[in-house]
Amino acid sequence: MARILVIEDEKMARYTVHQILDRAGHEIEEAENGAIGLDRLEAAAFDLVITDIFMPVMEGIETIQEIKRRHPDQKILAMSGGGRTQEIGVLRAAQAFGAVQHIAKPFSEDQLLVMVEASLAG
Amino acid sequence: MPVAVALAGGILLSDLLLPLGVAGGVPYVLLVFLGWVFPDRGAIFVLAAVATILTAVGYLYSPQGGVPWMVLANRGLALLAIWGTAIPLALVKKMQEALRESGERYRKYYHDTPAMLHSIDGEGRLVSVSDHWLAVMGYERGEVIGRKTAEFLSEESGRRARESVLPALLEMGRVTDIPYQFVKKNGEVIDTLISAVMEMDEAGKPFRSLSVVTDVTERKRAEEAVSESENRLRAVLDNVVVGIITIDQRGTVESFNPVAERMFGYRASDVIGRNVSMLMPEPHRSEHDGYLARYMSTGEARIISHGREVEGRRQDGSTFPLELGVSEVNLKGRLIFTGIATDVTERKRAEAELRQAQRLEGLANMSGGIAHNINNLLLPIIALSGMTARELAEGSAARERIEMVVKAGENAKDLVGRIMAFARQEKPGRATVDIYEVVHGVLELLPTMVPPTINTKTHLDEVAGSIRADAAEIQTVLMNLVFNAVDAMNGQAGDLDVSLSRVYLGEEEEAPIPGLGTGAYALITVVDTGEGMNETTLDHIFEPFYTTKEVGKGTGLGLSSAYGIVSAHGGTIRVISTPGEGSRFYVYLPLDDVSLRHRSRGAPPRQAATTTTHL
Repeated sequence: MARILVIEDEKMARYTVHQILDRAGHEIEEAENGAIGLDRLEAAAFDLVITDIFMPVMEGIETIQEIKRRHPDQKILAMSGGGRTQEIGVLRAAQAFGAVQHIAKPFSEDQLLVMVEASLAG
Repeated sequence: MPVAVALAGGILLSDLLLPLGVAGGVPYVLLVFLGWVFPDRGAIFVLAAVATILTAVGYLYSPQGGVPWMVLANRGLALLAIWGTAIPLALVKKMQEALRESGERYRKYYHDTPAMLHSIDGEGRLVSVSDHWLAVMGYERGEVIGRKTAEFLSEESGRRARESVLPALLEMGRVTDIPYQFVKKNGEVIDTLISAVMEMDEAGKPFRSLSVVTDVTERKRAEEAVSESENRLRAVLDNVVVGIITIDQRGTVESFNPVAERMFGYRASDVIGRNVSMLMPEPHRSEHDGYLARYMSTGEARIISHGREVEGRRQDGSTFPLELGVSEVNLKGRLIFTGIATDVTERKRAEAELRQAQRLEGLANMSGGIAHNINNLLLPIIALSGMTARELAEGSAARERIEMVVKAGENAKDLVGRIMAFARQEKPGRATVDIYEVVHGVLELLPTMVPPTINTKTHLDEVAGSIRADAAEIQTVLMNLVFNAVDAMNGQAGDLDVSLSRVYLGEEEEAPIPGLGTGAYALITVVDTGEGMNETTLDHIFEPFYTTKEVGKGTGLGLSSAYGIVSAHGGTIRVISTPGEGSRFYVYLPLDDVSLRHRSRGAPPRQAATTTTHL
C-alpha cells in the first residue's frame, strides 16, 4: 500500500500501469510528462516514482536527475520502451542518476509488482 | 686662297712679260688644278673661269708680236686646256665624293647597325668589327683588330672554324648559318649563327669577308626549355596514376599513356590510329560516333563531361567501370579531346559495401524505433489481458481465450526482442569467454537441430582463444546459421560443416575485410550444400524481415539479428554462395588476447570465379 507517481506520456501504458497498481492496492497519481510530474512531487510526497525513460518534454533521464536534485531520497523505478538504441546504456545511466531499479516494457502484471516491491524496499 | 691669288698673279705676270705666243695661256691650266684642293667642286669652275679671264687678259695686254693666227690659236688652245681639264677634274672629284660618301655610309651602317658584324682577311684575322660586336663581346676595338676570330670562339667552335668553316668560306666564298659559340670578354658563352661572304681581289684571292653574327642564345635556351618541358610532360603523362587518352575529332586515338595500357590491356601501338570506340562496350560504342558527329556539327558538348561514369572494355572483352573526364583542346585550329580515365572498380565496390552497411544501419535504427512503439503497445495487451484472465473462472472458455491473447502478446514480445537485438549496438551482458566453449555448447545440440539426412562435420580449434562477448548472443548467432543451413537443404541429404579457427588479419592481406581492423579473430565457418543463394538474395539477406521462405515458416529475422549481434561485438559476417551448390558463412569475432598475434595466419578463400562475396 504505497503512494506511487506514474510519469508516462503514452496513454495506454499509463492506464495499464495504473490498473495493475490499483488492483494491488496502491494509491496512484499520474503525470503525462516530467515537468508535470515534478509539479506533482512538489505538491505531495510519494513513496515511489515510476517514470518512463523516453518522453517528449523533459526526457526521462532529465526528469530523474531533477527529481533527485530536489528530493534526494526519492525512490525511482525507471521504465524503458526497449526499442531504442543505446537503451541499456541509458538505463544504466538512469540507475547511476538515481533510479533504483529499472524494468523493460512490455512486462506482465506480476513482473511490475515484483519490481515495485523491490523498489519500495530500497 | 692666297696661294691661288699668288699663282694667278705669277702666271699673269709672266704672260704679260713674255712676248706673245711664247707661254700662251696654257700655264693658266695650273689654276684649274688648284681647284682640286678645294672641297667644293664649284671651285674648279670658278678657277677655270678665272683662268679663262686671265687668258683673255694676257692676250689683250701682253706685248705684241708673233703671228696673229698663231697667237689666237695659242689662246684658243689654252682655253681648251683650261676647260678640258676643269670638266674632267670636276667629274673625277664628283666620283671621288660619291665614293667617299658611299664608303662613309657603309662605314656608318657597319658601326651603327645593331648587329654583330665583322670582317676578316684571308688569314682569318679581324680587320674590322661593328660597334655592336664590341658591345656584345665586351672588348675595345684595339683589343680585337688583328687577332684571329678563333681567339674569340669557344674551344670547340674555334677548332671547327679552323678545320672546316674557314676553309669552306675561302673556297666557296660564302657560308650560311654556322653555329658558333663566342666567348665574351667576361667569359660568358653565347650561342650564335654566323653567315659570311668572302670578297675576292682582282687576283681571285680572298681579300675580305663580311660576316653577320646572330646571337641565338635566347632562342637556344627557349628551345631547350621547350624540349625539357616536353620531357617533363612526357614523364608526368607516363607516371600519373590515371589513364590519359587523346583523340582527334574523328575519334582516332592519338596517344595512350602507360596507365591506360594497363587499364585496358592494350599496348599503345595497338590502339593509336584506331577509333576510340574500340575501348567501349556496346551500346556506348555506336553511340560515341554519334556524339562526336553531333558535337562537331553543333558544338554541343554531349561528350564533354566532368567525372562521368562509363564502362570501359578491355582487350579480353571484359568490362569495368571507369570515371571519365573529357576536355577539349584547340591546337592551331585542330580539335583534340583529352580523356582522363580512372578505374573505379574498387571504389564502386567499396561504395556498394558502404551503402549496404548504411542501409543496414538505417534499418537498424528504424527497427529500433518500431520495436519501441510495439513494446509500448504490448504492455496493455500482455498486462491487462493477464489481469483479466485472472478474474475469469478457471477452465472457462473465456479465460482460455484471454490467455491465448496473453500468449500471443508474449510471442510478439519475443519477436520484438529479436528485432531489438539487431538494433542494439550496446554491449549487453558480456564477459570474457572461451570461444571454443561457446561454439561447442551449440554443437552439442546439433542432433536436435539437424535432421538425420544431413551429414555434419565439425572442426574446432580448442585453443582458438577467448572473446569478450555475450555468450548467449553468440550462440544465438550460430544457431541461426545452422537453422538456415538446414532450411537451405530442404530436407534433402547434404553436408553441414561447422568449424572454428583462429585467423590473423594483417596489413599484408590482399583483400582485407572491410570494417575489420588488423588483429586476431576467431573465425566460425558454417558451410552447407543446400540450394545456395543468387546475387539478388545475397544483397538482402541481412535485412530484417527479408526471407525467401514461405509465409509462416521463419520470420526472416535470424540473419539480420545475427549480423547485428556480430557487428556489435566488433566482428562481421561474410557470405559466399553458389546457387545449386551451397553457401558458406564466415563469422569473424575479434579475439581478446593480443598475445596470440602471430600464432596462426589463415585467410578466407579468395573470391573464386563463380561465386560472389557480400557483406
